[in-house]
Amino acid sequence: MGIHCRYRKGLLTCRADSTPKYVGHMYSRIFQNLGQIVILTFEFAQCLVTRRPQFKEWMRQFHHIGVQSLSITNITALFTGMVLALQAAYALSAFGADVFIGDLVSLSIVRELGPVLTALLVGGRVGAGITAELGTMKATQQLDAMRSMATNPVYRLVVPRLVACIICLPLLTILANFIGIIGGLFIASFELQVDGHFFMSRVMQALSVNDVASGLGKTFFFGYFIGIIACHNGMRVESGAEGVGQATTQTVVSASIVILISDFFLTKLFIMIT
Amino acid sequence: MEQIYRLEQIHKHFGDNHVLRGIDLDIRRGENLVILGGSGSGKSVMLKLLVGLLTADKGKIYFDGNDITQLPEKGYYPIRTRVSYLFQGGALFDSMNVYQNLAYPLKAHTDMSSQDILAQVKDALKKVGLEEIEHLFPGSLSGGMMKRVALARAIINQPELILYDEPTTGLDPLTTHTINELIRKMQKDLQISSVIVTHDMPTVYRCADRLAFLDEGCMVFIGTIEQARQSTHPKLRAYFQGDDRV
Ligand SMILES: Nc1ncnc2c1ncn2[C@@H]1O[C@H](COP(=O)(O)OP(=O)(O)OP(=O)(O)O)[C@@H](O)[C@H]1O
Ligand SMILES: [Mg+2]
Repeated sequence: MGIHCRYRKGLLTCRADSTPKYVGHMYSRIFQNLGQIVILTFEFAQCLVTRRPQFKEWMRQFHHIGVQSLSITNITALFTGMVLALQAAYALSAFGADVFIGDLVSLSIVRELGPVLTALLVGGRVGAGITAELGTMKATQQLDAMRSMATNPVYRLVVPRLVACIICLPLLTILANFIGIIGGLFIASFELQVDGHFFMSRVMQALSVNDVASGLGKTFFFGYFIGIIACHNGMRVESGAEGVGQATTQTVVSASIVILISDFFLTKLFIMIT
Repeated sequence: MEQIYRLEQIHKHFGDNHVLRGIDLDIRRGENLVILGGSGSGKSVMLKLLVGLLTADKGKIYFDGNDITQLPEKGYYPIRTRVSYLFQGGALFDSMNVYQNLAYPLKAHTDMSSQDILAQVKDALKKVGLEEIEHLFPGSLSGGMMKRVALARAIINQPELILYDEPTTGLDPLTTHTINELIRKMQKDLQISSVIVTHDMPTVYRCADRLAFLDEGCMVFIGTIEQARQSTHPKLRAYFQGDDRV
């Protein structure tokens, strides 16, 4: 239920919406946001095509969004690979199928866990950062200042960030995949006494170009979702610190949910077309 | 005198907050117009309407004789290169240093060399009484310095009209004096007109050719300082009475 409180002339009045009204309100807000995101995407595409790229600013964003995310995505990938090897050994040994540890680890990481975990982490770290930055700029009227000097905040702020998200996420994922498999190899050879060469040969046999492509293909979409949700939420902040905080939370929640839901459909799509 | 802006019966709401309730106003080329009004009376909102940062709900705004009330965002660009806006809070870009902040409008709209830009930046800073702070970031400036850097950014591309939202609030009397003189000087030497929202009586006396008083969303007075002194409007009198006592 939606509860609206308002304080006026020393009197605090609260009013609760009836459920249908609240649900209606919620859906209308969702569609409004979707519409705004579509518009922002068009503006982004228009600026990208028609205007000179600001390579210096792009580089700065590649650094913020790509390079500075390396440590968290790599550590996560390493331990995910390691725990997968442990779990695989546990599950597969019941069937005497330990030889397939390499297959299971590499397929899980390359097709699913590498892209999704990287996207979730980047969505949290970078998405929150972008929303907080743009939100603060909005709240302190820096976006209005840009507009008042006849310049376009979408071109100056959204384009570099969104481009960086779309390009960096696949690159981070490639590295995460690689490190995840190394993690698996490490546990397989030192904990589970599987021969390293054998493990790697299984990995090579198990992975096809399709697996790699369907895993990486998804990350371009994830990058776009993270960037566009973060920029959109930042640019519509209305008031000060509280608004920025709420928008930042909203970004992390929405980006995570959108990544997980779209992952299902994208996976289905890729399976269908291959 | 030729009009730059003409406002006719402008209304603006935010939800059920009816901020502007039928504003009529001329802004004339070559003159300094001071706008007085209580806190929350809608002065900043009015300035934002002039450059399209907000759009009016009702009424018409003419710029150079053209109706600009409801333009698409890009339609306001030509106006915004001719009219500068000094934000009440300064609105400096805090990811950029002072030099980059001031160079921003120049880089966006001219193809000056970096040397020329640097020279312009130094010149603009000197005009507002600041020197050797090009490399500092807004976070490490005092409130008054920020205000003056923002002022420098507003004057750097020599617009036709500058909208000042409280240019001297929070500044010491000496700096206030410098800024008032600067506004006058730009008007005399460069024919730059100004709309100045202020609560500072020295600024009113030094800069105003005409005075407008905004109260509860209506323009209750427009005229010269002399006429304002004679006004019987109680709230407007308060501005001048306080002064008479001194
Ligand atoms: N973007 C906005 N959304 C909602 N309400 C707004 C917005 N901007 C201004 N207002 C409301 O409009 C009214 C006038 O605000 P404005 O900023 O113009 O006041 P002001 O005259 O400049 O006051 P001050 O001298 O304190 O700066 C206030 O009640 C404010 O709450
Ligand atoms: Mg104001």
